[in-house]
Amino acid sequence: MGPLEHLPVLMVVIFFCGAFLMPLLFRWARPICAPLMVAILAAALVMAIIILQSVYQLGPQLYHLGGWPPPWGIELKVDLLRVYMLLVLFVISLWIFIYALRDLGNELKEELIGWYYTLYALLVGSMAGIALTNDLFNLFVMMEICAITACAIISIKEDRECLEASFKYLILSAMGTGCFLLGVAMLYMATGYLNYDYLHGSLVEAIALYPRNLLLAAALFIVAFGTKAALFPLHVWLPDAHASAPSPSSAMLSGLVIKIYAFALLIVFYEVFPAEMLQGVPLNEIILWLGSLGAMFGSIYAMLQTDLKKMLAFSSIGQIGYIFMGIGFNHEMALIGGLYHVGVHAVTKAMLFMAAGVIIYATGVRKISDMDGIGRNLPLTMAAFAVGSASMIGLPGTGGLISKWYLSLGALEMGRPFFVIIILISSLLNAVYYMPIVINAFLYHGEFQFRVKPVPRVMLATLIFGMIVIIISGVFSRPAVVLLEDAVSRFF
Amino acid sequence: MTDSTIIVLITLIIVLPIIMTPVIFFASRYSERLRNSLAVITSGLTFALTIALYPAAVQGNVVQQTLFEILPRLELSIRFDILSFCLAAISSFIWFLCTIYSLDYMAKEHACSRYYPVLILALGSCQGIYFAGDFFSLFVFFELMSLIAYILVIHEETEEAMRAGYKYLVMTIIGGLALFFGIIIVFELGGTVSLGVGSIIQETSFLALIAFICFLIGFGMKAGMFPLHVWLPDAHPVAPSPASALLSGVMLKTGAYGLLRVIFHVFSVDLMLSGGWDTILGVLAVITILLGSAVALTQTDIKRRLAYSSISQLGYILLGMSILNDNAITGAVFHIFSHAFMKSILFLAAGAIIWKTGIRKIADMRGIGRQMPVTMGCFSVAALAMIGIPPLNGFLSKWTLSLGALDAGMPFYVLVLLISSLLNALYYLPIIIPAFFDVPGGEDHGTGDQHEIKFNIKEATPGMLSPLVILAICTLVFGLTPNNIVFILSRLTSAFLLLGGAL
Amino acid sequence: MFAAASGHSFASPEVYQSALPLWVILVPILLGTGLYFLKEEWTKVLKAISLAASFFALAGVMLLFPMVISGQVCFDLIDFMQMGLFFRIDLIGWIFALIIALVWTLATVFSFAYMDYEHNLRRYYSLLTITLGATLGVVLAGDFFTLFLFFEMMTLSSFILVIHEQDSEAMKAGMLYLYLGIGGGLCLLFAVMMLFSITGSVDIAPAFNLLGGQRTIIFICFLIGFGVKAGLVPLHIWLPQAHPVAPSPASALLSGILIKSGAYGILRVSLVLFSSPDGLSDAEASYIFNLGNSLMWIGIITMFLGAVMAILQSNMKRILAYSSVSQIGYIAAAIGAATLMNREGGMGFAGAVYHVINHAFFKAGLFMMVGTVFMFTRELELPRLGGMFKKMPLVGITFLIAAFGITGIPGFNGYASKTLIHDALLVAMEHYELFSIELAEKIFVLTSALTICYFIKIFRGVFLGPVPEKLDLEYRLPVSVQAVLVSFALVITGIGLFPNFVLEKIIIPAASILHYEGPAMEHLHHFHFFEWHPLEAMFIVIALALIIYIPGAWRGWFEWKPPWWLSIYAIIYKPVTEKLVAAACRMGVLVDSSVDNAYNRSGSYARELCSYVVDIDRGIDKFYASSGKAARKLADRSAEMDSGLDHLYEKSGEAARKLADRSAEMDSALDETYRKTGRAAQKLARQTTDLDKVLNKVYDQAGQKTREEMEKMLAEKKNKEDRRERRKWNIKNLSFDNLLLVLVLAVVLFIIFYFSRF
Repeated sequence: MGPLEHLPVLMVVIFFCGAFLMPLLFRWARPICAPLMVAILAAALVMAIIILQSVYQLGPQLYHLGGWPPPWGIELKVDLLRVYMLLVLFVISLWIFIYALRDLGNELKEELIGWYYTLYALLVGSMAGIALTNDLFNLFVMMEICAITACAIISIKEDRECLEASFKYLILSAMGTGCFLLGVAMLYMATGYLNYDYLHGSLVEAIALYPRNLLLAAALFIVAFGTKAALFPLHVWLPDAHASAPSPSSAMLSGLVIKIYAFALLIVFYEVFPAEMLQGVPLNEIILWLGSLGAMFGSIYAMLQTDLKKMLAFSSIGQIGYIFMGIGFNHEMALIGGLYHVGVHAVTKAMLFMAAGVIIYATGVRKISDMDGIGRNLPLTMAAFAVGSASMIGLPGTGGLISKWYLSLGALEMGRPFFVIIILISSLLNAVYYMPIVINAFLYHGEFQFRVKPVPRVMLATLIFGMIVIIISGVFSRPAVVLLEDAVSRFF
Repeated sequence: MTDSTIIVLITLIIVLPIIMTPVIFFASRYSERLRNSLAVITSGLTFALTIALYPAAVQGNVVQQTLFEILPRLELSIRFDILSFCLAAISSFIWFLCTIYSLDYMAKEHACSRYYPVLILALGSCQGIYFAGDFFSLFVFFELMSLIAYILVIHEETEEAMRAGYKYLVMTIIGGLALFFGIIIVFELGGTVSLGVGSIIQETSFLALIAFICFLIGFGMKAGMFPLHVWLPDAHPVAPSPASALLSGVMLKTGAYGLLRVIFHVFSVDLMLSGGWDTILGVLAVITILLGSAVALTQTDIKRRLAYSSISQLGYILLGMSILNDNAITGAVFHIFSHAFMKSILFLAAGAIIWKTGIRKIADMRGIGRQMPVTMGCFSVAALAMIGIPPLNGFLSKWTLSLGALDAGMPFYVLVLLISSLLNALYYLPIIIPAFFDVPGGEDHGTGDQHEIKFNIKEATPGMLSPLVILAICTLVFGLTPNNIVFILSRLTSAFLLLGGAL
Repeated sequence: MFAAASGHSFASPEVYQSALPLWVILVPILLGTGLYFLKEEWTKVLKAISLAASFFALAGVMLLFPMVISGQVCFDLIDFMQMGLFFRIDLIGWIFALIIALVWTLATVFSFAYMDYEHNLRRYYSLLTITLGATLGVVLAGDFFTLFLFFEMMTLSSFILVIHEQDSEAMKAGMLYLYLGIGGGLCLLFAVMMLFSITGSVDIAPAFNLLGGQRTIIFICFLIGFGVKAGLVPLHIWLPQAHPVAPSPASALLSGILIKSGAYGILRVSLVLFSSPDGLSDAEASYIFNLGNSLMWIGIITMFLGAVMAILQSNMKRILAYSSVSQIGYIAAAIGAATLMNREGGMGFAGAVYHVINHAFFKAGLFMMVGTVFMFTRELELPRLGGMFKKMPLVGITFLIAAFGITGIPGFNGYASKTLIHDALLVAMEHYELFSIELAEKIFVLTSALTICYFIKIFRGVFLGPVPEKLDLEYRLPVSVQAVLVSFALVITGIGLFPNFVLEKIIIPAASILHYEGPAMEHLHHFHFFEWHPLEAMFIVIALALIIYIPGAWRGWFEWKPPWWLSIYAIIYKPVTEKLVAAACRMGVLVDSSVDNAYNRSGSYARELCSYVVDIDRGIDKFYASSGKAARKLADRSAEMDSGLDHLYEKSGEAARKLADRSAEMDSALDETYRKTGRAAQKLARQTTDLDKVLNKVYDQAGQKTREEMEKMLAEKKNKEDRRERRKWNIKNLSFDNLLLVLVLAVVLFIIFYFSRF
């Protein structure tokens, strides 16, 4: 193994190191900042791929930080599920970063860019940490870093709206963290462990002793992760935060940050809580219903928005509902669907926000009604938007269909066709608000009314990449699905 | 013909138009002529390739080939059998003619560089539907075609067109989702959605019924079945005429095709009969037929009348499917052909009239037959075929369908067909008779008894007339001739389907 | 199909295969189609080709005769229209074909002159010729499918002849004709399909016993299908409208020939299809009787109503049209009589066929004669005509001959067929002795009288009386017209004078195909037309006619216009079509629009619902906001409290400071006091020191003495206490070995105690 042994921690650490270096370098050696960030992200991606290979060869691996074994030491875990998440994370953050290189200048003051890099690195690093960690306290720490950097990355754009939104986010996020901490405390009280595996082992007995406490802990976890991932009734912070942030931040937040909490919930529910615990109390049901309500209501809210980015943000609420549904069904197929949707929605929503960013960059238009006829001036951007919309609706040939396919299949296997209908209705609603934008953009009979700036090639290239990924995810989805099947098979 | 040859041909048929789409799009930047000729060549080539499969179809070759897996147990696959061949042949034929027709028709229109690539892409996806080897692939192409057709529907970009298009789009998406639901249930119950020999679902259950209803909604939507037809009379008239000819003549048939596949490959005749599901389809078909005919009678816009007529005619096909015996299925398949010929003629002729004179109201068409004798002549042939006047092909399909109904002991269905024929007569004859034998409103009736009827010929261009004439000849030939190829194909198809997908 | 034909048990052994029937049909159709593509100006060519076509047809039909008289001619065109075309000509069909070809030729010749006054010759001749082919196809067809095909073709092509004038009246009449024709065609199609699905064949062959329970429906559908074309009441309404508006040669053909194709169909259905080769059971026989009886009554009603309507008309072509309705009633009645007699219906059959032949000649002739008048005068209304006998004597004479023919004056052809039909009714009456048949016979006589009446009316109107001034011109009839009219007159008289020739040469062999038997057939073989018995009947009719006509004409009964609500059109068709079609349309539109509405409505409701849902979102948002507010309020309160506390502290601080200030003042005051008191105290101290020194000395001295005393007392006390302490047991006094002893004791006790539990 040699140096490869330390890859898991390295993946997190290089980001923190990078975050530390960025402001310094930005002052003294500005030109190398961006390449360095790209290099870090790419390196992380390469590491993730290497790890994927080794996981395939050797199975799941544990890494003890500093050589301290659990239950006292910090433990990182690498398995297919986590590697999948890491791959999604690094690919998309690298991609968004490349887009951000051009867009940031438009949205931020020059001297803040270095700090933005710092925040970006911290955010990605903390998300990697959340994905990799194998104990609750470390998770808590990473969550805090993540929450704070996420707030900062919103409020870095200095206007009132951003500040207000990020403040709202901060408060609710802190509430979530508080709940989480309380939950962790309860678990610790009941078992004396924080490490996932140890918790899992001892919770079976602890349930008999402290059923109420553990249940409360589970409930607190749902609230905590639900708040952070914008599960339906806890979503209020999201539209403002995602809509007002600079476009790369929006892409990052909607694309990845909310997913990572959903992922954390998944890990906690499937890895930490033993199956017995979920049998007695319908926690799954709660998640399922909240998810499906979110899928419906998010779409409905989105329908009535007039601001493009706000609409996209509301759409994220709907889409995160699918992911929670996938978690809540407690069925292999549905879980695969939910996890696949993590990836698909990350790409799609990030691309949609990027497209929105390009539109704002080129024309300054934010209102949907002003976008009529824009397709003739920004054909590629709107084509990307169209492909993204198709994936959101779940048209065949896009990744959205595959995740819906698996979700529906899971629902049917569980004997609950009702939820299939919910998925279908929410798809229909998606169509109702995405389609008119695309149609009016391309087929509006008038001319576009605003002046259009030329768009940098890099931005367009990133959009093309997104389109390709979406279509590949819809057509050549087999490898990813097989990976996910292997990843989740141990839960069932 | 070896299997591999067939596979190569099919792949070409699907892929060629799809690949040519961007080529045509970029060609339009350089030269309009290049674009137009590329479009015609592509559709012609597709037609030729499809026809090349004829010997294989008649021999009864069935080829199924998986291209690659999209998901575990779910692949993108292609299939060739005689039913596929029939539908693909007729649609590529009509497409070819409509593309030729478009050259002159669209010369006056805007946004041709959007129109042609979209037309060709729709061709590719339409062929894809017919050659899909499983329901998932079928669904993929079905949605592609439906969405592409939207661009054809709203080509004019008028307020009316946009509204109609929106309706079309929403209903298409609802249909697509229903289809998705149906496919997923089939996958759940049967473990596969691939078209094979025999049926996927063996016994009735609540879920299977839901699947059937979902398919009925999904495909019935496209076929303009009764409660789901509302998009059709809005969408077809607003599209440019060659596109409406394709929509009504060919694309509606994809719904019928899908239902045929569902009935014979997902369920089976026995299952349909034991569940009483054929009655559902039958009742809806009867309502569709009568409603379409009755409402067509009240329309004053020619294209709207034709659109309602399409609803009623698709009802015939659905009726044939619901009866489920040899004659009825033959009739249904043959009517797919017949209606494709007839309705394309009608829309193209209406288009020629609109193109030349701008007249859309039926009341204004008095005497138009003397201005455009060839156009109206072809129109009349098709209209008479619609009414079911022998020896045109419409009569033959009605005859076969009725025989099927009588074989099944349901003279009521025959009565429905005949009443609808009478209604057809009531709404087609007032178009064609005044067109030839009445004088236009403005023209002087002539004094005394010596009123000579003058022919004042102002025909559309030969490019628009030739497809019309070819189709009119087809209408005649495929009703009249002995050893009628199309009829034989329909017979073979029916036998093929009733034997559970094996010849 | 041929195999089925050979199973026909009535068929003569001789079956000839010949393509001639096909050519007879195809050549006119092809030539007619070709004519349409010629130039309008080439009138000579048009005429020549159309005449050639009809001659060809005539010659072809004639050529068939030798084969037909001794058997059948069959021709099969397999796979045409998937069902195949099949022709089979027996003598019955041949008779019809012959009349068709013959009359058509005459009509074509007549057209040459007549149509010179008209427009659009090309279309006229083309369609005329095509219709010839189609009509021949109907009677030469060997199965019902083929028959149906040509029947439809005939309807469509004759439609264009009807609307030739293209004025609004013609269009209206034509549309009525077409719609009824298509409706009838669909009924026919239904019947044919039922037949095919039940028996597996569409052959024109006896199939009564195969049909089973659905035979009534099949019969009714056939009857409607053919009855529309034949003009049976109440399906006749197109006829009086269409015949007058068509060009006269065309109306001659419509009335003389086309309606016969309907009669032909009825004949084939009721006499061939609805018969059984193997004899009938009683129930079946009574069924057939009822069928025949109904058909006969339909015929009787048709003939009577037609005659009544004819007599009330003033337009001469319309009189003739109604007359056609009436005459077709004779034929239907005869077929009905033949049907109800079953195997003994030879008389009825003979009457029907004979009347078909006769009617073709005299009605076609009459239309052409009237047409000739119209050709020159352009006038059809009787009141505006008159005195034409002087102007056109030839027309007058031929008209009179034809009228004699149709009214059944002995010596003219109508007499023969009417006598046969009358006899058929009498035979039936004798056989069954039913009142209904007797009544039918009476109506028959009355109708014949009415026929005479309206022909007197039309003849008086057109040919007698003064010539209107406008029409007082010289008329020169073309030779072709003269020739045609004369040939009609000749045929009518010829048949009238030698009625047995036609009967024996053609009709009896034709009847033998259907294997009629019984006394009626015997009677027919030796039928004497010019005996007293039939002549008597005719004289009664003529007398009756005079009795009706003279007072009728005197009192002007025949000018009576029936109110609109008496017309069948107003009673049946208008409400049925208008209400039914309107209702169907309204229903359709209603359903359609309500479905559409439902979608739109549900869409808008959904949208509304969505907006409510957004309220929920706002509610949640508000909840958070209000809870935030509450929190802020709480925070505010606590801040207030904080500041209150602060205030409190501040105040208390102030108070403390004040207190401190005060206390400082007090302090300094105290200081002063202290200083003062200090000084006083110093003084006092000094004085007390002095006092002290003095006292010290005193105390020292007193103390030394007391101490000595005290030491003595203490020593004594100590000694006493020591003694008491030694007596008391105290833990301090416990020595170590004692403790050890206690411990050992406890342990031992514990051990004992512990073990004692077991």
